[in-house]
Amino acid sequence: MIGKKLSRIAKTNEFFVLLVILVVFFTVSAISPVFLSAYSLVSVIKTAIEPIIYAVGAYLVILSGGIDLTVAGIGAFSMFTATKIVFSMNYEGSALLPYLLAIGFGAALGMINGLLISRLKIQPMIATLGMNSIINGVMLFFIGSREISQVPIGIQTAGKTYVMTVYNANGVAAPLSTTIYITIAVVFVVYLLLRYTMLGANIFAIGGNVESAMRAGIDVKKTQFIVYVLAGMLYGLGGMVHTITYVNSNPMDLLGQEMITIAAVIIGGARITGGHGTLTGTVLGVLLIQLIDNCLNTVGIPSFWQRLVVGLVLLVGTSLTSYQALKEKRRLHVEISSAPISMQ
Amino acid sequence: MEMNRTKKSSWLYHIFYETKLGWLFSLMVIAYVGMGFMSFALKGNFKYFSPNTLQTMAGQIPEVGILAIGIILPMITGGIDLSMVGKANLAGVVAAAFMTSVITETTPDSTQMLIAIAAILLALVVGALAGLINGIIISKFNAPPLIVTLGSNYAFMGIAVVITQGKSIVGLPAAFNSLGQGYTLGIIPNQFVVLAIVATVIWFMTSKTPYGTKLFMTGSNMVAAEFSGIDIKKLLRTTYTISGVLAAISGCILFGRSNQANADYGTTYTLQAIMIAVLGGTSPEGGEGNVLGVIFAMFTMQFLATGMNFFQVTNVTYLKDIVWGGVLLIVMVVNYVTALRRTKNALKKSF
Repeated sequence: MIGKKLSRIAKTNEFFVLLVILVVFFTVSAISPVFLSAYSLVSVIKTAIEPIIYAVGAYLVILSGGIDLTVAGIGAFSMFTATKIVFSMNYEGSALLPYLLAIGFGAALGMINGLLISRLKIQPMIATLGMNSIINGVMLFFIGSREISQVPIGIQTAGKTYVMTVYNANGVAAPLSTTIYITIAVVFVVYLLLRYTMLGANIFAIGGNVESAMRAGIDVKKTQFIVYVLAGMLYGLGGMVHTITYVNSNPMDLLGQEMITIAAVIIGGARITGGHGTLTGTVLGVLLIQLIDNCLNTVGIPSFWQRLVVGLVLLVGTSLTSYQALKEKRRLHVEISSAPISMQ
Repeated sequence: MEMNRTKKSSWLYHIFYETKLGWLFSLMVIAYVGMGFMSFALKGNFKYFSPNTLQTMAGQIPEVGILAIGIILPMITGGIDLSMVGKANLAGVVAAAFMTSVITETTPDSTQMLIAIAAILLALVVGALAGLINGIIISKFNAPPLIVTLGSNYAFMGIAVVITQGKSIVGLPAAFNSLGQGYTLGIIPNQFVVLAIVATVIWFMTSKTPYGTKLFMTGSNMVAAEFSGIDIKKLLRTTYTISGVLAAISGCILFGRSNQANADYGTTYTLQAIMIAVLGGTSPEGGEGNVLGVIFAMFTMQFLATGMNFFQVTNVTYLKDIVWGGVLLIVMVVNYVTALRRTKNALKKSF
């Protein structure tokens, strides 16, 4: 019984990603023993705090069968506009207001995405591509393009409260910010949402097959709309976490974040066609990418190799999972010559 | 005479009405004239309509334009190619690295010319290989093109960065730079001539050859296409290889124009190219798309962008982002609404 369960776990994609993470971790530790320390562990987790929040948002969208290219746009817009507002009103309270503002902006922008996709039936990729361009343009043209380095006191204090601080052999500190609680809360809430609510079940259903979901009486439009709003809120929250972590709000910081976020979700085992993939996988996917980033530096490989390695991981990962799906299809006696090659 | 006219009008009728390009053409004309008059209203001169401005625009269109033409082929099959810029930069960087390592200061001009041609050929081969890799992974493992090309984009750019060690390769030979800086007959930018050739070739391939027919069949219904005997795997490999070659051409023009090769160049071009392709009537779901529409779309975008340069506001590039994204979304909404109305009318008629 337990053996059966174990072998089922061993076959999952999450297990595979975890295995890769462990292999990478111990290989690098073998090459350079300094890596095997609390310091590196905290460094990896520290850099993963913010991307995990984006990835959870993107995961929800991908799970529902869509795709969202506005990750960086909404994240940057929300954090920058929120910071600018609290900055210009000389706000001296806690970081709660900037957080709420950023989430609010994220929700509003996500709402526009949701309307375009669910009501006006624009393909998610095109709608979010256009929206990302508009959001970035509006932010940089109307709101400002210069970074705010003198952030309000509330953000500063929030950024400088740490759960713990560890040091490496040279005495360099790696402080773990309290923002990690936000990430944990986000993952937990989304887990509950997907596991125990009707909405969660609906998201899986419309991602698996829109037609059958509709026949089953699920309000596809409403579910899609909510997914994009939730995702927008998470990007906004992630953006504010960025500002708080770096105690600085630069609208250009998140450029290109959408692609690496999607990559992380896919590495974590979510299928781009929707309906497949777990939250654990998404978190592990982000951790793997951050680990690779950290390791390359430790082993002494120049940072410009990072992109190549991430690309190869993504290529190998996709080829493997797609090939497995293909084999599974064959095993199910589906004549492969008649099986459609699934696109996108 | 009478016969002739009917024939001619039916040809025009076909292009502008049946292929639904008429309104795209109008959009382009409106963009051109509208931006011209707006710049007149703001600045009081007709500089926008001057041949000089046209020449500048013709020099700026090709980089993204060729990428957009290259991206419609995978899109017609129902896929997408996010690795266009990765391939372009890799091909361009390889060509640049080759030239700078072979050419010394004493190399005579005629030899430099030959080396530049060899470098361009090398770039095309690199682009084709990169595209072929995409095609093989997509067709062999049945992997989603969006993700494969997202990954390969990182990989290709990664290789390019490794080659350049994160720096720019400068000092490219004049013969190579003329691809992006010279003029044919003294007035038409060379790169625009390249764009015209590329557009003609791809238009011919998609609308006049068996390959084109298979391409559209595959895109509109892959299962049916496979049952009618089309070798889908081969078709996908060919398609992604061609898009790789086009990316390489664009990469050479880009680096020739800027006189340096940098692995990070033009990262925003991929999304711009998709935008132009979609505006030009290419459906991301496959089976629809044509070169002429894409040409109209790229001119429309360029007219808007150049027109805004005349407004003399700071940060005009950001304004451009807003307008481009807005145009794309408005066009998509209009498409949806008209399609809806058409279906409703058709339904009404049938009862």
